[in-house]
Amino acid sequence: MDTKLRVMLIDDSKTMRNIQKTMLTQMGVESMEEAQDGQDALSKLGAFRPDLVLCDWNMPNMDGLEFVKAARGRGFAAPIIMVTTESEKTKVVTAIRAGVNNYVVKPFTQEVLAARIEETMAKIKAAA
Amino acid sequence: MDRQSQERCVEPFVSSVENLFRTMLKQTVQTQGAQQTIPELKDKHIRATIKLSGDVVGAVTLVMCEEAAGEAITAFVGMKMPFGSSDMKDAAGELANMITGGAISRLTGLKIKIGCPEVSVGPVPGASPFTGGPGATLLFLPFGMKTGQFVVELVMNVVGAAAKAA
Repeated sequence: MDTKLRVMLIDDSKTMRNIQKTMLTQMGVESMEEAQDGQDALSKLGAFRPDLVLCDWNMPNMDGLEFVKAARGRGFAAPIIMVTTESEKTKVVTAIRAGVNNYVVKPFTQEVLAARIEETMAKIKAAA
Repeated sequence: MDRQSQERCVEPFVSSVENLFRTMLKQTVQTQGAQQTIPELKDKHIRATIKLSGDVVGAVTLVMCEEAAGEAITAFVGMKMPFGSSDMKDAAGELANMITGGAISRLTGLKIKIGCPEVSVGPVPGASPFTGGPGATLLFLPFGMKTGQFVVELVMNVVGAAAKAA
């Protein structure tokens, strides 16, 4: 795990943001920014400039899918991993078409989250 | 919803609860089977509801007594929270969200949209005010933990083309 990764966590649940923060801290990640919905995240993208985004799907104001479309529309190129309960195949396909790089289905363990992050960053590195 | 359809709905919720507790709370729970009436819970309780729309109109509500909420949420977030606090409500809402999402992914052939959690705290347990309309099924799935009991309440009404196909 590249511990210098700058990770943005987007989830309307403070509990889930805290759980993911704890997991990432245990993986050695130090630089994290939180957002409570898609709108909040869009407003923080420019200043924080994340290397990776972990994004929930169901959120008030602007949901995860809308966020992904808006962020990609603005030219945001860093990988986005959906962390969500939405695991239906058609939804996964929709998310990937919108620009999502990988998927973590809730509930999940730290090992699963770490594996998805490693896998995603390795693919990005290989494609560069 | 006929009896066979009801039984098809119960298993995904039981599996989802067991998977959530095993994965993120590192705990096992004991299922006690579906019931038509709400089991008796102790005094105070916290109630987290996720509304359903699409092929199924209804709601899934996680109802936990104070002891069970304390045990489950401490295991979930890794720290104790005052009963009824905003942090505890947020955590209960997320548990309900994951139970619902996990169950719906196991309910094949139905397109169901889930809403954001609505959480309340009250002194007296009782059935959800959400009825799901005429023909809706109301089921209670009680689970046992070390310190107390919690219930997953299902109000489900298969509607439209999905109802005709069922």
